Amino acid sequence: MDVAKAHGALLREHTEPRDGAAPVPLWLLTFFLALAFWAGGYLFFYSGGFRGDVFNENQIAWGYTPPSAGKAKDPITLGKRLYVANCASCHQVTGLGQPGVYPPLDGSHFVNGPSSRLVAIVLNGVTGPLKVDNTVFNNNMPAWKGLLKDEQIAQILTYVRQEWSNQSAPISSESVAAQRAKWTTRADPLTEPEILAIPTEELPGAASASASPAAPAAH
Amino acid sequence: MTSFPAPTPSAQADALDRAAIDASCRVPVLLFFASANFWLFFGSIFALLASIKLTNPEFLTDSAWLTFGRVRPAHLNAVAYGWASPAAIGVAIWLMARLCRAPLRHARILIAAALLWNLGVAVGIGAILAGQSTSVEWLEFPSYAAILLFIGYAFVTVWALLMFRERRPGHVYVSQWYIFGALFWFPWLYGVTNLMLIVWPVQGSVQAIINWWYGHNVLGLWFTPIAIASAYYMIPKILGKPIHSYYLSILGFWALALFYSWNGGHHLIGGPIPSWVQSASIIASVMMLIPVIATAINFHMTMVGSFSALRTSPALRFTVFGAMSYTIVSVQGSSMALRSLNKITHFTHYTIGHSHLGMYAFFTMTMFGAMYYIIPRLVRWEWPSAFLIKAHFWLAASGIAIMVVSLTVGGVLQGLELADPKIPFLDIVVRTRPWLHARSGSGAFLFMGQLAFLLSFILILLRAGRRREGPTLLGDAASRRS
Ligand code: HEC
Repeated sequence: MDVAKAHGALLREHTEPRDGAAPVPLWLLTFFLALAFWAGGYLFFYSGGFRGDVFNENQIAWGYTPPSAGKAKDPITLGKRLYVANCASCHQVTGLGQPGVYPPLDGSHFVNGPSSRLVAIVLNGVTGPLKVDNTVFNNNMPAWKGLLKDEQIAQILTYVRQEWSNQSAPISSESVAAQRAKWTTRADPLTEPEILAIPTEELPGAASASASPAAPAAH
Repeated sequence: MTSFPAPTPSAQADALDRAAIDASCRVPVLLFFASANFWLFFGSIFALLASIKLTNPEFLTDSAWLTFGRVRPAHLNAVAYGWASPAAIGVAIWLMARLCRAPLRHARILIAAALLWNLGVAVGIGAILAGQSTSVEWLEFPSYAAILLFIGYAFVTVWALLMFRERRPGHVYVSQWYIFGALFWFPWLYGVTNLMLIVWPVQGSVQAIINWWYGHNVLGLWFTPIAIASAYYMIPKILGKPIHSYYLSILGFWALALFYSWNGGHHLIGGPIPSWVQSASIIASVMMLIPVIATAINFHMTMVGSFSALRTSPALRFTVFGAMSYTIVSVQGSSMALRSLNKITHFTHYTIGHSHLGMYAFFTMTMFGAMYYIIPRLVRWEWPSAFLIKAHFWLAASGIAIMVVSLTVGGVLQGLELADPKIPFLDIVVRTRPWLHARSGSGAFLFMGQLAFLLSFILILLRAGRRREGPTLLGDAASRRS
């Protein structure tokens, strides 16, 4: 190809672009530093503690806070989740059980009665005739001590004692632990006479349960 | 002004080299440009339909294919993937070849890429109109269309690597950094988000975060770098001056790379995502001032003393219009990320004004500028009509100005009213109508300008008119630059 035939646009073109070497102005660098300073401040004040569960930028201003701090676990929410997973297949989500097969938890004097007995029932399971709300059931409930931790049993029972028409005091995981210590060697499920023989003494953390109106029969 | 020493081969040998490079680029680049203009035409028709439907909801409702919910994403995808991306790829190819100072090889890879990409766009738009959109904003193409785009794009990236290996040794110019950045960023963004949102969708509000990570990065890490690369080439090239400062170029490039990918979260301010994510994106958005100001100073200082060239050179006029819009749209964007302003402007037409300022006034105008420069060199024919170019420029410039002003003012009023619970929602909707009418009108301006360009494009491909010796200039030829 010869130059004469080359397109005019190519001939009148300047060389390919080059770089000048002017320095970055000082005022610009200063401005950028000021921006960076502002950015640090903004992150400091509106980072919500860098937590995944803070959506309001004004809520927590000061740096990182571990996720568990300041956030009390709600035993009712957790208890409900565990109840649905473990107990509802028999006692139903309604807490009413199934007539003749599974006794109700709603309004039951075992549930609303002394926490020592309630915790013992759940830890060891029950077998043989059991009178709940003037109906005698004769079935088996498995033991839960091998499956659920103290904290989980406490959450389930706290939920059960405050759901439906029940209005009894919460049960702490310490009280479950204390009760579990008494039954470590027990392998078989409890029977009704054994349950009723358990002293009605209150476990730590459930002091007000004995005042429950649903539990007079136990006194 | 001090500058790095220029390579000084003889001017003639230089021109011959360039002629060989341009000839080698002809087919692939024109293929991308032609398809870009094809989709720009249809994308704009979808835009006009969608715009009219906002003021006249009864318009064209008989067929499900033309309902707002389909026409609007058809517009976005046609202009983003049909127009903007092929235009950007075409410009990137030509700039790469020119700046590598070597003729383009492996044109077949690029031709295959163009065919695959356009097939993907056609399938995708068809799917959207047929009601098969994924309904993820910016990623409405179903996966069977997206995969075509992805493979087509991968070809372009591979080609760029091959091209770069065959370059003539020497300084790597700033435009090339941006092109390389973009050619790797885009497939990464597009691939990852398609996998995480469409193929194996993640759960919950993380979806929104990923969605906007993509939605904003496709602007900032794909379209923006190519347009900046083009401006970095066109401005010094047409003026015959070195770019003002290499150091500002570096600062601008790396600051963009660092901050842009954090920006997406500012679309979710006030939403159910952790506030630190929002705050981090707000900071990154404001920090974008660094690359933007660095780039703006670099362009401006290069232009100083040569503004009169804007009167004559079409390529320069469009490019500088785009570059100035880049500064404006970016500063506006940084301010919109601030919680106090965002509270008012979010979910209003203001945002739409902002996005058109970016995609049209900045990106599209810069691409037009590049095309005005590149195409005559590829077809070895001058633009047939200065009148058509002038018509294009003034229709586009006034159209986009009217659009941005009406949506911005209308959007602020809308936002203030929405913040007042005493005003019934429907009243606010009705009161946006005049602004939306203005937007439809401005869209018609843009459309007519594009028709002028399309006509020029067809005429120059046909080598219509008499052969011109000099460039087609807009004003009196005080300086012979094109
Ligand atoms: C497999 C079915 C089944 C599951 C699961 C089950 N129970 Fe029972 N539960 C029974 C049966 C049956 C009885 C009555 C046993 C009897 O008749 O001797 C009973 C009795 C009880 C009682 C005493 C009677 C009453 O109604 O107050 C309590 C309290 C109790 N269950 C609580 C629970 C809790 C808490 C859970 C979950 C951790 C649970 N149960 C899970 C079947 C089940």
